[in-house]
Amino acid sequence: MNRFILLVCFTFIVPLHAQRSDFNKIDFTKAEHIANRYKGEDLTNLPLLVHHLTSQLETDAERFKAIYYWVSHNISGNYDLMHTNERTRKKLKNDPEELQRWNHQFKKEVFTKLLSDKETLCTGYAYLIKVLSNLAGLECTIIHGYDLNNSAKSNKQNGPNHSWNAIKLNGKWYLCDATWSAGYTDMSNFLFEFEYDNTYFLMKPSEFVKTHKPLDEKWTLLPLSTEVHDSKKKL
Amino acid sequence: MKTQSISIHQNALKTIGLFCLVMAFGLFTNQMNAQTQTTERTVTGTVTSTDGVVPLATVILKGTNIGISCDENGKFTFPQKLKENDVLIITSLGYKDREMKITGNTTFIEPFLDDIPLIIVGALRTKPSNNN
Repeated sequence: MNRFILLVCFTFIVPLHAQRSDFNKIDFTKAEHIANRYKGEDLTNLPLLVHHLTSQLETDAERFKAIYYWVSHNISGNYDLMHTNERTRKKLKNDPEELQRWNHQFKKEVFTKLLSDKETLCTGYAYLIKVLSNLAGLECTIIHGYDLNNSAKSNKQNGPNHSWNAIKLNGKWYLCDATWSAGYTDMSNFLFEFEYDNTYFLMKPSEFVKTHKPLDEKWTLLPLSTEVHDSKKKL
Repeated sequence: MKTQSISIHQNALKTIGLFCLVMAFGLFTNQMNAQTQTTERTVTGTVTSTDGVVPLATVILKGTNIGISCDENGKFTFPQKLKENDVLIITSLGYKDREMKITGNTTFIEPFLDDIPLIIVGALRTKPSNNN
C-alpha cells in the first residue's frame, strides 16, 4: 500500500517540478555570453551554428539556453505574416482543400522569410527551436494551441493560433515560448521591438497554462493532464 | 650450327616474352594507380523538392563541419573532394534532412527533400513586457 501511495505521489510531483527553478544551481551566463558572441549569424548552416552555440557548454540545460537565447535575440516577429495567416485562415475555414493548398504555399514563404531575413511568426520560432535543439541532440517538440492573452483571437472556431515548444532536459519535459521571449510588435507602427523576456523560458506549467492552452491537454504538463491520468490507470 | 641457332632464337623469344610480361604488369599497375586516383572526385549537385529546386539548402559532409550553402537555384559544388562511401547531409528549413552516400564514380547528385507536414499559425506579443 505504501509503495502504491509513493507511486501516486511521484506521478504528481514530477510534472509539478518541471520548471526553471530546477536549474537554479546552473549559471547560464556563459550560455548567454556565447549566444551574444554569435549574434547576427545567418541560418544557412544550422549544424555549424549549433556547434558554435553549444560545443563549449557542459549541461543540456545550458546548451538549450544558448539556443533559446540566440533565437530570441536574432529572429524578429513579422506582423504582416501573422496578419496574412490569420486573415486567410478565417477566409478559408470552410474550404479545407483550398486551405491546405494555401498552407503549403505559405509555409514556403514563411521559411524563405526566416532564412533570408530572419523574420517569422510563432510557428517559425517554434520550428527553429526544435531543429536547433534536435541538432544539439536534445528532444524537443512543437506544441500548437491557443494564445489566451487575446480572447478574440482565441476563438476555437478559427483553430489554434499559437505555437510553442516543449523541451526534454534530464528526462523531464519543460515548456517555453521563444516568440514571446523575443519581443513585441508595436501596434502603433506594426514594427517588431526586441525585448527579451526570460519568464517564458522553462516557465512553471501552472503559470504557463494561464496564457497557453495546448490542443493536446497532456502538454499542459499539469497533474490532471491525460498522460498523468493514463499513468494513474496503469498503476 | 643449326642447334645453336635455334637456341639463340629460343633465348631471344624468352627475353621478349619476359619483356612483354613486365610491360603488361607495368600497364596493369598503372591502371590500378589510375583507378585509385579517380576515387576522389569533385561532387556537384542540385537540391530539389516537389516544388522544384530548393534554394539556399545546406550540404555537409557527415561527421565534419565541412559544408556549403546552395545558391538560389539549388546548385552546389562541394568544397572538398569526396571519395566512395562519404555521406553528405542535405538540410533546409521546412524540409526533412536527407543523407546521400557517394557511390561508384558519382560526381553529380540530385537530393530530393521531403516536405514536413506543418500547419503555420501565428500570434505575436503585442505589449512590452512587465517582467523585466
